[in-house]
Amino acid sequence: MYGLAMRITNDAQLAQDAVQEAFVGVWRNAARYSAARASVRTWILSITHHRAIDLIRRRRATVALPEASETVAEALTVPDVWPEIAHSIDVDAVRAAIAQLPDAQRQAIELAYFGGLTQVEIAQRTESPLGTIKSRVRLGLLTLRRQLEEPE
Amino acid sequence: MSDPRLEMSCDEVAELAGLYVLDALERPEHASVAAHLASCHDAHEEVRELGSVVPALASLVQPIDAPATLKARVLDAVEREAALAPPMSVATSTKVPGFRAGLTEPARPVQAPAPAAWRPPAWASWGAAMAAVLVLAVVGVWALGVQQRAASAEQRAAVLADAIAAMSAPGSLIAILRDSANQEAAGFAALSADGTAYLVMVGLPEAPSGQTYQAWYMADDQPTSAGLLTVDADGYAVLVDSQPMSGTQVVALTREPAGGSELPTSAPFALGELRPA
Repeated sequence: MYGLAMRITNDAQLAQDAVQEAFVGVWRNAARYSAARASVRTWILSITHHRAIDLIRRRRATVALPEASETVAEALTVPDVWPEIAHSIDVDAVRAAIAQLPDAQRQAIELAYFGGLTQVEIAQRTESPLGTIKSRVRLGLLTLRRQLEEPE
Repeated sequence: MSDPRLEMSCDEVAELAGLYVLDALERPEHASVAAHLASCHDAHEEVRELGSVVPALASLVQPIDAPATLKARVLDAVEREAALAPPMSVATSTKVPGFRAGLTEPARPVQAPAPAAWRPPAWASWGAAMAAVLVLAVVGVWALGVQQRAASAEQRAAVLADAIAAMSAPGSLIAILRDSANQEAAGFAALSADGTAYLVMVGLPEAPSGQTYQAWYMADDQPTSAGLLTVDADGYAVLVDSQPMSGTQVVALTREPAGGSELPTSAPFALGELRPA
């Protein structure tokens, strides 16, 4: 949770706020959790993601939009060594699948998910029309899904 | 009802599905898509399809150990939540079909589920029953010890932090527990990969006089005690236990006569199915 929040906010204080709010959200919504729809882990991570994005958007409203930083795009291509071996297969497959995406699609997905940018912000940042961003994200995710469904 | 200006057609939702699952829509737009999905007769398979990629993206994030201050903050926040809950009335237990039926049968010995075709000879069951009684006694004593040790707020906070970590750790099994008659009481059981079982409930009223809360592991309708739950003044109940026998599918809570029971004497008021975290 904290790792995801850090990745999105790039700020220890905001990340901690996000995790704290996410936990409160988890308690409040436990009664609405539906096991059929997602695992608890996925559920908690998506709440964390949502909170982290709320927080950075709130902060951006008061601070000027940061310049395109290397950190967002860079992080995905750096080969991390994961502590849990059980994870390495999945993670490698995901990383490989993302590496195979066309650059524009990969960038759009990264800016959205890890950068917490909205479609309008992504369009501005990449100087592309909104419609293009929509289709890049859609196509990129579809390709990822296909790749991850049929592991080699 | 959503603002009519923001009402979306199925095509618009399909077009925005990718940005929606990545959480990259402005909040009002996000809300419109969510409202459409909640009410649309179309299943919008494309949203689920694209959304299934999101956990994979999340898995790319390298876990970072949260600073100790964060754990303390989270616990404070969660405890404040519990304190904010309105005063609770004692809920009456509801009947859960199946559970009760299983209990009215002659008590079977508590043992690991055997293949259906194989029936142990009578003497073996008897031996297993004796062993089970011994195991229950040991677990009961152990649980009591933990509760005494966890009595200090600091120790309880440490246990809670571990439980919360186990809840979101890969490899854990999680059951969400809710009191069907009391919306305020909820919690979870987490069986971590290292073999520890945690049970945390928030918002439980004090057990009715002469009664206690008891947690159970259920494997093929066969309950095994997981220990007694003591509710603290703030409505928190925390239990640490060693992992249950394999094959446990469900964690359940019942109200039992003070001191606990060997087998449940009432239907569970909360139960949850164990699933991978």
